Amino acid sequence: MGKQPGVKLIREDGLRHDGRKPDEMRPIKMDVGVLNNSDGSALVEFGRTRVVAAVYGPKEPIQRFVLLPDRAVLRVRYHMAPFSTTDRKSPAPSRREVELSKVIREALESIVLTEKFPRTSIDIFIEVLQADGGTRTAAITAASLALADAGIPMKALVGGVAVGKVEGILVLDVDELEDGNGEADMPVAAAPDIGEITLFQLNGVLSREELEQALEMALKGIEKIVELEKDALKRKYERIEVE
Amino acid sequence: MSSSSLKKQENKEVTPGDILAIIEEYDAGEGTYVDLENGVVRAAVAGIVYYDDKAKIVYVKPKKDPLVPRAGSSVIGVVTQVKHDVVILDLVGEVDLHPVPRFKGEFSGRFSGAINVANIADEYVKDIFDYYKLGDIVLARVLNNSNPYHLTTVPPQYGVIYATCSKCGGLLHPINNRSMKCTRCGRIEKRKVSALASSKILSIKIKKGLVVSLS
Ligand SMILES: [Zn+2]
Repeated sequence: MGKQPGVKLIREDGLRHDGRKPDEMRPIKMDVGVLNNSDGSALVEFGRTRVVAAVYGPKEPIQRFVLLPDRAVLRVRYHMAPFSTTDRKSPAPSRREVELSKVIREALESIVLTEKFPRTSIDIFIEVLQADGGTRTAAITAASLALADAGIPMKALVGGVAVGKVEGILVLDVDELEDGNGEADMPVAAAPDIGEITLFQLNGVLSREELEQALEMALKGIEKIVELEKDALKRKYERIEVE
Repeated sequence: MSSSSLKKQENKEVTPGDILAIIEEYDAGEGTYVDLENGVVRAAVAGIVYYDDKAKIVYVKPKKDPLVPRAGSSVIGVVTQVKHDVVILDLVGEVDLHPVPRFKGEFSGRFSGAINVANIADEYVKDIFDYYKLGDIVLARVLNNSNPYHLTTVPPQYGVIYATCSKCGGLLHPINNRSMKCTRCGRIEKRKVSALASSKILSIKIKKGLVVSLS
């Protein structure tokens, strides 16, 4: 975090570098059932950030020691494709990817009704195809959709978005440039239907007032995101019915 | 959540988290769950909501239902190991036996099951290799509800439904409940044969390269 000289994130007219209003999200696209070889899948785009999630299971894992006697185990692998960033990353999992896999799992664990499938595992593979900020919250959104597409019982759909602070202004759905040059970045995930916040992180510094305002902005955005998730799932029903 | 704001919408598409009823009015059926905090029944899966007004149960018929082995269900498995007291299978999918045998679907993932020597047939099993061989495709009934799954093939409808000749690889055709004959070289092999092995009705297509046609 910290601003590079010469980067202008808030324009004279008060809009952001890409012309968005502070509380405006990037164009969002969602599609479910995008992969044939998984039990459930989804593609989610926030502007140029593009993430695909695939769900396998419930199944019997190869290593039995991961099993729990009373519920299913959720396993998440978050991976950034080598071509997802400008500087081509190593295909081997980095520490950041391992850490984010855990963060995403924790953001989903409380909403999946894992007790329906004891002694099984539900595996979620997340592939970041293109990274332009907000990959972890896009990943959570995609994973939630893919779980619903796989028919895994869950308490509610989860959506995620990050709020940032750039040049003293709170902005919704930060992109890479804003994230890299802003003063704070706060990824949030929630299930609005049941009023549950499942991820809340803060990198950087926000005042108490800013924090409250940022959370409100995030939750408003998430409400919209989850509505789009519902639309995407229902669009798929229509496709099934036609077939 | 006030009850007056809740409108019952029969046959409506719902997604996880949607409120379907208040708990005083309906019990939570399949595909739903009780949200005690808010006093409501919510959808747990994406699908179509149905209200059973007689039984006072609301449920969601899912668009996709992950299939896992359950006690009492009939399953198809491939023999992966034969030991002196147990046969190990990879379970592929579930079969509805009634009213007519029909392949219900593939399981949502890989599961293994075991037929203990006592659960193979309704007789004393002296040599387990006279009942099952590696690669046999078997119809069996699940005895328990969680992994590791135990299976039985004692009732007559259970046992081998597809096997190949251990000499020439030709298809084995059932002769009776204990033997099969090679359609190519005429060799007779011992098996625990399912009464449904010659069923013309049960035709199964399974992805991952395994295609079984029982006609
Ligand atoms: Zn032969």
